[in-house]
Amino acid sequence: MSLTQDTIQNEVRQGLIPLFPRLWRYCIVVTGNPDRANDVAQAACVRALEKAHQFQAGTKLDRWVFRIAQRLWLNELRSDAVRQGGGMATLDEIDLPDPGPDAETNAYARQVMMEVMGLPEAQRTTVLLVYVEGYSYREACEILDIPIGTVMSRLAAARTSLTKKLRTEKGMMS
Amino acid sequence: MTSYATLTDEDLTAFLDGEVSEARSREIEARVNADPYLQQRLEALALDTELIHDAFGDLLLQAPGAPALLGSSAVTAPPTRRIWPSLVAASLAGALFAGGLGAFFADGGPQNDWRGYVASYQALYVGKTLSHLDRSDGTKAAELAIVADTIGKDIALDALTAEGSLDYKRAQILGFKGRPLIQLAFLSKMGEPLALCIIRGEAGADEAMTSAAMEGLSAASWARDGFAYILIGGTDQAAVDSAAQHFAAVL
Repeated sequence: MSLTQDTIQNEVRQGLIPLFPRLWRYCIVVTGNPDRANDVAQAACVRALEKAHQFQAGTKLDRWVFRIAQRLWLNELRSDAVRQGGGMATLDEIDLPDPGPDAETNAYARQVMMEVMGLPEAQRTTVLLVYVEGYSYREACEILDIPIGTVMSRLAAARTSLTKKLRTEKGMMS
Repeated sequence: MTSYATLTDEDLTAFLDGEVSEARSREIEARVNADPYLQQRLEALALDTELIHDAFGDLLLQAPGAPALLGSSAVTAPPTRRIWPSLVAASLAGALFAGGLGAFFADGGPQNDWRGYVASYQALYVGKTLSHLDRSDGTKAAELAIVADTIGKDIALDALTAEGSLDYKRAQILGFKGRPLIQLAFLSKMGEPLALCIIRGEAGADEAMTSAAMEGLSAASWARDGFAYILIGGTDQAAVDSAAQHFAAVL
């Protein structure tokens, strides 16, 4: 490995450390399960270090790594998760980390999160990128490798069902 | 070119997300204003995305440390990680607090009392912790109902907003040694963050209101009918006392 490659790998490594919580959250939303999120997030870090030489200095590391995680999940790990079936939660079952009795938790926020997690995988992933991470449509479609029209239709569908669900819940509580 | 074509849900979504040009935005706005049916459709898409953004904030706090392959011996706390001292007592001590905050707690530390922990926590709040929150009364009431229920108390939104000098912002469930503790957060007119914290206490252990400065913040605390309270924040003791009297009367 040349000195330059070594430097780039170090840059990627240093960048991944503070990015890891966001990467892990993204993986939770994509996979719907903390165990799978751990696997995908770790695998994405390994892949990012292996491919560090492809990272263009000065571009955004977060988008690049999210894209790596997305591809890993869709191309490799998702089918493993489906095959394993039995012992593992199915892909339809959403499991979120337990906040624990002492953790600071906002109960309404958790309900909102569960509603988002109840959306189809493609929709909730797009919601996370645009409404939580704050990416533009253009950035989200690059991460997900889909046309911009697909980003728009996923968000329109997500908005329709979330608006309805959250209004119903609010109505029930008030 | 497509100006007068039917507006799809995708068009309206892009409009709400600020993803259309200024000219297109003005055009959609004009068409929506002139068409009740379009207004209904827009309303059906009017999701509070800030709520979604905030709802996923806690997941960052639950993320495991970065994997060892990144060569990070210290667990990296994300910048938004909130510090709650009872977590130290639980299991997250060590690496998480090895930096400046470790020193903060080691240096005299908070009192071994829930109010001391609240004061230490409140000392980390700044106006900006709360100033970006701008939510509807409906959202606040729904949140408050869930949060207040964890300590088995009914709290009406009106009781928190009628006081006048404080702008009510948010309710959260915290924990102290396994017991739920609720935090109701306010901003003063001066933009200072204040919190009214309530924990279920011993029945019959009523305490008259006492005022004291804690962690450099003005505070008033009292206990009544099985609940213990503290109002803390800012440096205007008279204002805190006055607001505390109001809360003691209505809660």
